[in-house]
This record gives sequence, C-alpha cells and structure tokens, in this order.
Amino acid sequence: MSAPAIWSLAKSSGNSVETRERSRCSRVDNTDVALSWPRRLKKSYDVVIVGGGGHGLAAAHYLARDHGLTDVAVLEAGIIGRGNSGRNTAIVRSNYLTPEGVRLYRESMKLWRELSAALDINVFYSERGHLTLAHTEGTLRTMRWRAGVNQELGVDSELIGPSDVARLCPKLDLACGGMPILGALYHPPGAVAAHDAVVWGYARAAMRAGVEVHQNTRVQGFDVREGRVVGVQTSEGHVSANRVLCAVAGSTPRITSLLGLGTPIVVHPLQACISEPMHPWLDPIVVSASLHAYVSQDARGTLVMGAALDGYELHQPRSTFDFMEELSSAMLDLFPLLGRVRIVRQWAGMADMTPDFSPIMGPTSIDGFFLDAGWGTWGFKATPISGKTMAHTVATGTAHPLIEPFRLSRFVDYALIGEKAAASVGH
Amino acid sequence: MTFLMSSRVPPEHAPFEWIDRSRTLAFRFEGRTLQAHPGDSIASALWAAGERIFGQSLKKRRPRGVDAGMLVRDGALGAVPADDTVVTAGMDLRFLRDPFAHSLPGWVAAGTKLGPDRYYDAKNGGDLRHEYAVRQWVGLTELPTTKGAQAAKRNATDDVLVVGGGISGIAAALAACARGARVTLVEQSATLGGRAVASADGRARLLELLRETADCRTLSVRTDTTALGIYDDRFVPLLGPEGITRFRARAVVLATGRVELPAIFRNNDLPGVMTIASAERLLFRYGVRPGARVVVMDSSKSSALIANALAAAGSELSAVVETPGSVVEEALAGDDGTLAAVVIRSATVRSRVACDALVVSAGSSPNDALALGARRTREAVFEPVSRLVASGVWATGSLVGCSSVDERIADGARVAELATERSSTPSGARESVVRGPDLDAEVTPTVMARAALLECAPIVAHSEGGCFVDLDEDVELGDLEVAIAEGFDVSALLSAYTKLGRGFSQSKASHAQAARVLSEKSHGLLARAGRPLPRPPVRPVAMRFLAGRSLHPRRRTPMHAFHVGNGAELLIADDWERPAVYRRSNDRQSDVGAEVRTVRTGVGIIDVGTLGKLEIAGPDAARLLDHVYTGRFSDMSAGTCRYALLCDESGTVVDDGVAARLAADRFYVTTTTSASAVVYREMSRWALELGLEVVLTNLTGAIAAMNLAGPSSRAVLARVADDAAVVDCPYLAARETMLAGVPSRLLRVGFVGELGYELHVPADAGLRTWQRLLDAGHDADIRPIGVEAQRALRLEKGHVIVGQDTDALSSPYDVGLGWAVKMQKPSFVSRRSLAIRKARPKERALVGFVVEGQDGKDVRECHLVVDETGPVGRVTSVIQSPTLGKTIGLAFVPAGAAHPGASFTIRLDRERRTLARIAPTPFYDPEGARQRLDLAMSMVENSRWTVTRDRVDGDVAAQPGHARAEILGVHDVSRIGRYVVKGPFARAALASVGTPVPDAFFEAAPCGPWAFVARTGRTEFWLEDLGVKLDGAIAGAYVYDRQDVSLLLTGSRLPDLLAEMTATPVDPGVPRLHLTDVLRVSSMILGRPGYAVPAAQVWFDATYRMYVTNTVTAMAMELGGGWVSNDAVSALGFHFSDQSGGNHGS
Amino acid sequence: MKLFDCPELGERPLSEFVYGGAVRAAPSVDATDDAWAEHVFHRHGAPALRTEWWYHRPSGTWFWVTRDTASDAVAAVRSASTNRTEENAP
Repeated sequence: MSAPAIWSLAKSSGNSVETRERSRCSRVDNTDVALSWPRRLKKSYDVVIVGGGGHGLAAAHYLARDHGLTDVAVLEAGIIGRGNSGRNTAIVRSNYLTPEGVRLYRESMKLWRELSAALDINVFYSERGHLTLAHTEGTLRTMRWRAGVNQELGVDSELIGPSDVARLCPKLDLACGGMPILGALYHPPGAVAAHDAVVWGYARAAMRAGVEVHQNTRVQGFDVREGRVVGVQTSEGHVSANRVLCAVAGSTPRITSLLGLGTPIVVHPLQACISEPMHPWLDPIVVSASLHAYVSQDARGTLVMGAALDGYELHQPRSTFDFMEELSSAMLDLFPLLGRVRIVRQWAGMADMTPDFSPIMGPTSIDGFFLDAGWGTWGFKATPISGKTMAHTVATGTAHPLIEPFRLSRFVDYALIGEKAAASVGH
Repeated sequence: MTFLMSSRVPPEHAPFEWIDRSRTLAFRFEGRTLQAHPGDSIASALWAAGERIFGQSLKKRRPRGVDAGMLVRDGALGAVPADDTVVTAGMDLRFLRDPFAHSLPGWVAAGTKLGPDRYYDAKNGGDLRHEYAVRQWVGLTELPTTKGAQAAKRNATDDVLVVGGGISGIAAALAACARGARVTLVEQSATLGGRAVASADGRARLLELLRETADCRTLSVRTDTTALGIYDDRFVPLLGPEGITRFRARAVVLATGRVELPAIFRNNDLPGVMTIASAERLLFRYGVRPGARVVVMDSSKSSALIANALAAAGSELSAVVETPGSVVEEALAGDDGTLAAVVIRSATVRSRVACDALVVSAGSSPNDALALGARRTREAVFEPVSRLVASGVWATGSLVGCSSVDERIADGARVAELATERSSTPSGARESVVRGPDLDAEVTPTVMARAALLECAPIVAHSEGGCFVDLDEDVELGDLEVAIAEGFDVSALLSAYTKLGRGFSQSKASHAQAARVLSEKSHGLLARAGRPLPRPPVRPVAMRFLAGRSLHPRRRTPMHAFHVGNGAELLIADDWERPAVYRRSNDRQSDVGAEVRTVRTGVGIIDVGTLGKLEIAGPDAARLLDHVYTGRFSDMSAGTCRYALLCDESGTVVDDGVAARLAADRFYVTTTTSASAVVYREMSRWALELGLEVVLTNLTGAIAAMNLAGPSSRAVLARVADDAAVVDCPYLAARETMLAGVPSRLLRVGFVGELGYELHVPADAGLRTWQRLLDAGHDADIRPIGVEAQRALRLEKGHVIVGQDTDALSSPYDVGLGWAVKMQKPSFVSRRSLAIRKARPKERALVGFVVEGQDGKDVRECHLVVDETGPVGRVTSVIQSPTLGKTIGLAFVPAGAAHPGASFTIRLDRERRTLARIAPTPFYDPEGARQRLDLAMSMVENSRWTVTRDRVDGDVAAQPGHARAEILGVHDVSRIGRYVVKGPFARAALASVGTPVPDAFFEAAPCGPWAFVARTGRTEFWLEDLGVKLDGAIAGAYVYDRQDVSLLLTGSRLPDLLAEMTATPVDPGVPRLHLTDVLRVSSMILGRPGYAVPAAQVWFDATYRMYVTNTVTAMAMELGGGWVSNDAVSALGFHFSDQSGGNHGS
Repeated sequence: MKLFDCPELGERPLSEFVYGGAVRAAPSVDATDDAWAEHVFHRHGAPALRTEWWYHRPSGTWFWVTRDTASDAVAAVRSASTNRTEENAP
C-alpha cells in the first residue's frame, strides 16, 4: 500500500460504474493473479460447462490439460464454489459397497493424494482414517460385505472390533446411550480436505489455461436442433456451443427440465454445523449410521458435524433447529464429553438424490448434452475423478469406462447400482 | 499507559446499572485476585480493576482489551467472551494462550491461501506433514473433562414474541398487549432499556414504559435470554440461564437495534479503543469509567451525550474529532502496549493527543442477523431492514432506521399493532395478506436507514498496516486488498478467503466495513457489495442445552419380564429389546444348539410379539390385499392362512408375512418386525388411491404373539385349549378360539419347520398365556427359544429372511420366491415391473449351500462369493446346523453357476478361501412332512373374538402420595376399559347402544364421571370407560379393544410437565383429544377439566410402557411430584365408573 | 420447526409427519415398458407448486399438502380422501 490515503464513501458512490469497469479490465489479462474474470460472454464456445462448483471447474481443468480443449466457458449462476462445493463436510473415502463405486472412488483418491502438488495449492489433504460404527448385527454384516469388496479391489479397509475402535478413538463411549458399538469398518486412508482450496485450485488452473469462468450467469434455456444441443440461453445473453456439460448438483432437475430430460433425481436439503475450535483430540472421521451422525475435526480444530438428509424435497438450503438438537443428542451418545462444547454455526446444502445412491454420469439421449449429477451426499470426494472422467467423456463423446455403469439409462434397464448401504449416513 | 485511580464512578452517573454495588465478589485473573460486583461482565470487572490487557489476539498476538471480542479462559467453562459473560465468584480466568499463533504464520489458522512460494512446499513433504504439524497447535480450548448435565427443554408459545428489550421493543410489547395479545419480550442483557439510558429524555420515557410493563398482566419478560434464530413458521428457540425454550409465536417483532462499526485506522485494536456503545455500557451499566483521558471520534454528531457524561463522571475530555473533516489517523501504544495517544489529522494539521481511551462513533449497521435469517435469502446485499421481514416476522426501532426516542417508541407501537393484526389470520392466508399493497408504505425503511449506511467515518489506510477490520480473525485492511487484487472480489469469496466474519462472534460489524472496502475497490456501489448471510445460531450454544434430556424410545413385548428373569441375552432390533438366547451355560453356542434341538425333538415356545400385526376389515379387504401383495387372497376361505409377499412398484422384495382370513370381510396379516409401520402406512395409502372401503387397524402393540413349535406342541396346546378340537386343525388353518380363558387367534404355520402353532392373544393376557403354556409343557421339557435359535431353525428349512437374504435390489425371482407371485392377477402394485424383470436374463440366484470340513465354521454372513474375476456374490445366511451337524447357508451366486451339486468359492479373508457345494433347500425335512403333519380334521366354528383382561397392575407399583398428587401426580389408569369402533356403520353401532354420537372431531363427549365418547376419525370413535356392551353385532362396525397404557396426570405443575412432554400446546382446561408425539412416541392427550387440580390423560402403545412411564415419572419427580396411588387421585375426585375392562367382561 | 395446519387435527410439527412424495397418476395399462420404468424411477424433481402425500404418524392419517418446493410455503392442507377429484390428481 502506498502513502496513507483517506477513503470516504461520499467520493466513491458517484463514480461507481467506472470504478467497476476499470477494476475489471485492469485484471482481465493479468495471469499471475489467482482468479482472473473475463469481462463478458463470447458468442460461442466449443464446450459450455454449466455449474462453477468443484466438479465443473475440475472438468474444465482436465479438458484443457488432458485434451487440449480451451475454448471452454464455465457458467455459474452465483459465485464459484458457493454451492455444495462450499457446503459439504469435506470427507474423502473409497470404502463403498459396489465394485463399480469402489473402483471410481479408488481412482479419485489416487488423484487426491497428488492434488496439492498438481494444482500448486494447499488443499490440506489430511489422511485421518475413517470409522463407520456398527451398533447392530445388520450393520455389522454390511461392514463385512464392504470390507470384502474393498479388499478385493485393493482398497485398505477392514472390519474391526470394539477394542480396536476404542484404541483408535479413545474418547468414544462404546456403550453409546444404549446402542453399544459392536464394531466398525476401518478405512485408514479416509481423509478430510479444505473444500474452498479445491475449487480455487481448479478454477485458477483452468483460468490460466484460457478457460473462461463467468459468475452470476444463470442458464435459462437450451437450443436443441434434431436432438442435438447447439446453444445455451443465459441471463447474460445467448451462446452457441458444440457440447454442454451439466454439473450443477442440487440444481440438476431445474436444468434438465429445461430440456424435458427425465431423471430420477429428487432434491433434499442436507445440513451440517461446526463447533468452536478445540485443540485436536479427534483424529479419525467417525460415522454412525444408526445414530444418523458423523464428525471430524478439521485443520482449524473445529468439529465438522453432519447428519442424515432432511426427510422431504426442498430446493432451499435452509437450516432447522431440530437438526442441531438431534445431532447434539447423537453426538453426546457418542462423545459424552462434548456436553459443554458449543456449536458456532449451522448451514445446509441441496443434495440431488438418486434411487440407488449412485451418481448419474455420461452422455444422455440428447446429443452433445452430458450429465454429471446425482451426487447426493457423496460428491466432494469424487471431484477429481468426475472432472477427469467427464472431461474424457465430453472430449471423446463416449463414456469413460469407469463411469459407464453410472449411465442415466440404467434405470429404465432395471440395472441399478445399490450403494445405499454405503453411501448415506441415514442408511 | 494505565491510570491506577479507581475507574468505578459514583452511582448517580450510572442510572439503570446492572451491577449490585451492595455486594462484591472475588475472582482471579492471571493469578491475581480481583474484586467485582454481582452483575459485572468479565470485561467491566477487569476494566474497573485497572486491567487493560485481556489477552493477545489469536493470530497476530496483538494485546487486546475491552470491546475487542476477546476470549478468556475460565477453568470450568473454557473459552468465554469477556465482554458478555457475567463474572461469578471464584472464577479463575487466564489469558487464552494459543501457542500456535505466534510460532507459525497466521495463514494456517486463517485457512487456506494460494501460492506455493508463500505457503505450500511440495518438495518438503507436501501438505500432509505440514498440516499434521500445524494441527498440534490449533484450537481455543481442550475437550472438557466432565460431561455437564443435559438440561431439560420446554416448549412454549405466545401470540407475539418481541426480541430486544430496548425502548422500541418495550413499546412494541405494550402495544401488542393493548391489542389483547399474550406477549413475551426477550432481552439478551440483564435488564430492559437498551441504549435509551444514554439520554435524559430516553431515561424519562423508559421509566414510564417500565412502570406500564410492571402492570401488564399479559406480558412476560425474559432477561438474560437470547433468541437463537428465526426458523420455519416463527419457531424461535430461546437460550436462557436455565437452558432452551422451544418458543413458537403467531408473530415475531424484531427490535434488535444496531451495531456500532469499529473505526478503521492504524492500531485501531489497542486496549482503550472502543465504540460509543461499549463506552455507554461501561459507564451507564457497570459504572466504570472508560478512561481518565478520553478522545471522542464522532461521525454522526451523536457523541455529545457520551462526551458530557464522561466529563461529568470525571474523565478529562482531551479532544473531539469530527469526521470527515478530521480523522484519527493512528493510535499509539505506550510501553505497556495499551493506548497512550492518537494522531489526529485534518486537511491542514496533524497533531498527537495523549489519552487512555478513544471512544469512536464511526457509524452503525443494523443488527440484522435474525432478520436476514428469517428472510431466507441466499446471499444478502448490504441494505436497510424493512419493517416486514418475512411472513409473520416484523422489524422496528433503530433496526429499521428510527433515530429519536419518540420515533422508536411510536414505530414500535405501530409495527406491533400491524403484527398482532396480521397474526390473527390463518397461517395459510398469511403469505398473501402481507403482500397487500396497503402495506408497502408501512414497511419501507426510513430515509434515515438508507442514509445511515453512508454516514460512516472514513476508513483510514496506513502504509505499515495494523488497520483491523475483523478482530476475531485478525483480518487487516491490507489482507482484504490483497484478496480483492487476487480476484476474490465478491463478499462470499472474500470472507471464505480471508475468514472474515468466520470467528467466534461472527463479527457482526466487520461485514459492513468489508462491504465498504469492496464497494470502493471493486463494485463501487455499497448496495451492490454483497455480504455473506449470518448463519444461525446468533450466539454459540452448548450441545448439552441443544440435546436436552436424552430420550431413547424402547419397545418391549408383554413377555419381557419373563425373558430378563430367565437369563435371556437381549438384542436391540429397531426399537425392540428381544431375547437373543436364554443362557444356561457358559457356552453360548451350545445354548443356541440346545434350543434348536428342543424344537426339533420336543417343544419350544418363541416370543414373536414383535411381528407387525394388521387387521384389514370391510367389504374391499380382499381386493386391497390382492392389490398390495403378490399373491392371491380373494379366493381364500375363512379359517385359512397364506404366505404373503410384498414387492414395491419396482418389483423389489420389501416385506413378507402371513395373511389369515378370519371372515369374509376380515383379514389378519403379519409383517416383519421392522416393516409394520411402513406396511400399515402404505396399505392405507393404497386404500385411498383405489378408493376402497376398508378399515385398517395396526394391532402390533395390542396383541402378544408366541410360536409354540415342536413334535410335542400339539399335546401341550391341548392342555390349555378350551376347545380340544382346535389343536387338530390342518396345516395353514387360522382359528379364533379360547386358550385358558383367553380369546386367541391360532395360525398353524411352520416357519421353523416343525408342527407349530402361532398364538396371538391380547397384550395384557400375553404373559399369563405364555406362562400357562410353559406350565402345560413342563413334563414335555418345553423351553423358551431365542431369536438366534429361531433363525437357525428357519435356515435349516431354507426360509428367506427379508432384509438379510434379500437386498435393496432383489426381485422374488432372485431369491426363489417366484412361486409367491400370481401373475394371473390382472393388476397389483408390482405386477408390471415383475413382468419386465422376469423376462430379463437372470443374473444371480440365491442358493442353499453346504461346507464340509473345518473351514465351514469360519464362514460368516456377508463373506464374498468370488471367482477369478473378483466378487460375484455373497453369503447371506450361515450357521453350524445343530440338527444336521454341518455348515449350511444361503448365498447369492451367478445365475449361470447355480446348479445343484456345483461348487463355488467363499472368501474367508485376505488369504483364505473355501469351497461350498450348492445344496437343495430345505436342508431339513425337504418334504415339509413334519410341519404339515396332517392331524385328524375337525372344522370349528369361528367364534367371535372378544377380549378378557387379567388384572395385572402397572409395572410401577403405585404408592400413596396425596400431597404429590396436588403438585404433580402420575397414576396408571391402563386398567380402565376402552375400545374403538370403526367402519361405515360405526355410528349406527353407537346409536344402537344409546351413547352420544359426536360429530366434531377429537372432542370428548362425557358419558359419566370419567367416561367419554370421541370421534377420532372419519368413521372411527373412541369409547373410554363405558359400561355398555358393544359386541359388534352390527355388520360393518368393527370393534377393537385398546390395549394402550394410559396415565392420569394431575396437579399444579402439570403445565410444566406437558410443556416438556410434547411440542403441541395442550390446555388441561379443555376436554379435547390431541393426537401427537409424546416423548417421540405416537400418543393421545386429553385435557381433563372439572377437577380440584389441573389434570390430563395420556394414552400410548403398551410396548412403550417402561420407556414412557419411567421418563414421565423422572420428569414429574424433578417438578416435585411422582407416582401416586388410586386413593390419592380419588381423594382429588377422580373416580372411574368401571374397572372391569369396559364392555369386554369375561 | 415447520408446522402443518391440518383439518380437524390442528397444527402439528414436521417431526410427526412422513413425506410421501408428489401425488402422481399411474400410466395407462397399455404404456410401454420404458414408459412404465420411467414412471417407477423418474421424478418431476424441479421446483414447483404441487400436491404431495404427507402422513401424520400419531393419528395414522394421510394428508394432501399443496406446497411450493422452492419456498417451502404451504398453500393448502387437505385430508386425503377416497373420493379423489381432478384437482388431486397431478
């Protein structure tokens, strides 16, 4: 900063518009800043990506890096990373149930471990170990099932007994308010990360490769000719496009309804909250499906806590008080010493749920329109792999082998991928 | 430098003070013992004692004092905010030391920032190690070492809730009361008044209003109470000293005032720099002089009052800086690190003025956290608050921009009247009503509100930094400028990047200043500079308050007492506690084996009371079953039963059970334990969808069920059956008969594969019947059988357990239940999907398998079936069969490999595999000869099913307690007879016996001292304690005995108990039935007026008896009451005309 | 917590209800297999004002709630009855 300057609002309020334009222009071709924003939409792009969250920006990055496609615009209705990418609880794991799911998340975790170096940004990737507690025989059976599938596919995961649970998480009350802990699925590479950094890292990398990211640009319609998407109407004008990738999580039904494209997706709020920051006492990520609660301690020492989906459809990230009540009650069953710990803030995201708790990825019945959706409560951990595989799919026009099973048409084929038992806290 | 002269001013200078000067208390700070008055905040006590430094900031280690959002560490409470925590005797306060903050750069605690050179070094181990190192140092407090009691939560409601006890809030509350509303007024601090106390005029008006509030009967004031947030439908949880009140109002009026902005200049965080609001609080509320030599900085011509007051209180007024003409450019610290002087700069001169306090009035912003939360906007812009915030939520006072005392009072009154008026309209209409054009003029913010946003002191940057915008997170002006330059130029990104406003206090004021910086640096217009929404709760809340009393509903069958008395090991399934195995030896497996052998060779008895039990009556009953289930039931003859398989619309197996036809128009259906509620719910939905005339009743809790099984079961049953012939009924027969004088339903089914009878009796006869059978089987060595043996028995028979041997995608064809699908039926729920799935190539099959050899005992449920390609299936069930002496089980294998005799590989662990051979099921008695066992046929008439009760008193023996009954008595009245009559001819049935036939729903029509009839459904009536007989002679009227537990609650504290038991407001003075949750259990509550004390009656499913009664009793005892005897309640005039079981006398 | 103002019953909190999805019409019997599968699995998930099934647990009754899934505002709550009118059908 130069010599002491006195600002007064009286001065600025007059020349506001000029100020804005100037500040925008001055940064548009300045590549060493983190985020450089284009001024206005071009008439056409090779690829338009709807949704400036982690998935969309990652896809933009891999389109440029792996496939040399840079005539790409990412259209974000609001601000990048402020949807589910900034509202999730930042847990990364691959201990799923179905082979299709395990393979996908396994590949994602390989990318996660290299992500800070690859994006040249500290995403605070921290491998804590992931404990899914079993309070009933039924859950224990499912854990054994998951452990077997995980191990067969080379994912480090095993069924452990109460004494091992106590060793890994000494503060846990094994009696657990009358629902004793019978065991747990232990997944050592389970990790947490800083979700904002992931978004900014992908955004910066994409921007530096020439991808345009437009904020406050809302998609209002599509041009479809002979069953092929050729353009997008937005709040900032019309653009033509050869291919469109839709990666909008909780807004998927709104976008697909613009195309008359049917999907099984319903949107439910998913809530979370954080405690005051504490000195580290909780290393692993702890999940209890029976109690509908999970918790991890982040890099700042705050407990990041979540629960099951809200029970009804709603397109609004509103918070409810009963969420904090139910969650606190479950948390005190698990960790009685949390009684005096204060909850500082709560929020919600919008989860796009599928009947089988697996995502929907790949081409659709509309040529040139690709879907990356149905990420419900499990999208954050897949950010790198969905970006990579969707980039491949958009660039080549055919689904990447890893995501082929997740095609939209699996439902009419009664070929669902039952991930319920592993995907959701609620189940 | 610190002035040691006492900072406490004489009382006359501190009207409306919060402290009690008559008493002092001692506390410790950094090892020093200090004095304070009761009512002091930690900050005021320290300041009064001459303490200027409360600690160092968390990231940049800056010394900070009053009004800096400082946290101090208390031995018991952990980190507490010094400015708004009341000091208590014996507190041991210390600096909140954060070793990490000075040993590492601020960025880590600040969260993630970009750039390798600055922060991230991939070469040296990358972020993993880095982050682990850092984690050892973060955080404000340790995990507490003690639990802290979970405080009870109460529900409460009023017509109007006013938030904020300032002068406009008080005026609003009084105006609403004047309109006849019941009003609650909550104030965060110790007393009402807010900032009105600053002016003589305000004080005078305040005194008048306070007098009125004192006289107002319909107003209740709660001080030291915070409204945590505005949630759906005006739900406003209140956090008070005693815990949380779950408050709901018809209308909410927000009078939360404004937040003073901190002035921004170099070293604006030095101890001694404070806002005018905080100076007023120190002086007027705590009688503490902010400083000896004070400089006042004023941007709104509003500081004259405080200046005079300070002077009057003996402070020396060193200078008054009037912006924007002149500004404070920099504050200077003395040797002790506290404020020693300020540098004042005007257009022409630059001067240094010594002082130990700088009081700044740099402008203010609305304290709108609650208002914005209520509005539910995603991203707020920085704008004035309008009077109508959201449906039923209003704002007034300085929050909406009113300035003068008179204006604030007038506005409060006007808004309160509007709010009261609108709230009387039904919730449905509310939305449209508030959009009326007539309101637009009313709700627009005042001109002053708009202007106020611009009337801020200039932000004064400095080349050496130290200009703080957010003290919680140590965010400086320079940090914002860097962030904006890096492209984080909208508020959402800016605060995520810098952590601005993410701190403990969510820095209300920092967003306003940040918005000004943003608008200057980027957007230009303040109105366009967005701001992140403040997120609830508005202040941090301890989880013990949020959790409240820990409630874990548990269900028990009537035989539970027997199970625990006979060594049963309990397992919890859903809410149920069930006997897994009755332990007789140290060897669990041999106990299970012995139970299995008992059933195979002799006779055993199994408690199957957790099964769902539904009755479907009415002309369309058969049609409904045909539609919902895959099988056909319309062609069944009365007196028989059939397997019933339930698939959803996608053709996936979701439940199974047995359907018995009791009469042409009555079916009795069992479901699996976990599915009873869902099946009942979906059946009633299908009945509506199809427009069928059926009467559905969920009898799960009302009926006890036991399975008498084994070769000797017939002999045992013969001894208790009143009708000897019934024991010879054929396989799959269903009978209504009497066992040991108890009306029973007998289903001859063979789940465990032996001759067996499933016996269903009224819940309160369950234990007695169970024991009769055990006595009768004594010389046949009968023994009770647990869940595990039962599962082994069914597996030997190859029976599938839905949910264990099926999964979320299983069709009947996958699991060998195709035979139970009757495709001939023209239409049923799952027909179309099943047709599609049947036509597809089968991918997997559920097969029986046998494992020879030692490995067998290591096979576990959900071990994988593998081939060279990897996982191809899994084991769903497996046991060491006690009967067959080998390992048997069920497994999913690829359909192609499912040939009898073929073998497949089971994966035991990472290394070991074992071979299993596919074997035909059932493994045991393949022909089923043993369960079908054709006995001499002898048809019996279906006797009409009526109920006799045995007089076992409640689980909790009632004690006398006449005194308790008047405070809060809990008395078990389950023994009183009650039943419902349902169906198209229910009215006729009532009329036929001459009872009232109420039209209005849920209103109890009295028929005697205690008895009543109430309409509880479209064609359903509840009869409590009626002497008359109603034996259902009228066709189309179905009578069901209610087996609920019922409690009579009496006494003066009843309202408090009800407020904790249920969220639905219940008035003991109104005889209305409320069907609602009580302690999370579906229940019914009735006000019982006309007695000497307030009274209410509650009914709930008998299987929750212990859980609910124990919890209610615990609550009652906390309120000074408890269990009371019949004498105690009859002394209060409670008499029950009939105690012999209503119309069902035996 | 959200309230539903139910006919006869009165106001009850959300926690006492089970959400039953949107009121939908089954496809005609001659619909293709794909049309049927779409009926089974696909949903009209976009924000809309629509009529939904809600089940009140303590009283065991179904209601038809007309609700805006964008704002969560409830326009009407009616007892689900067997005599369905056009308006009840989607």
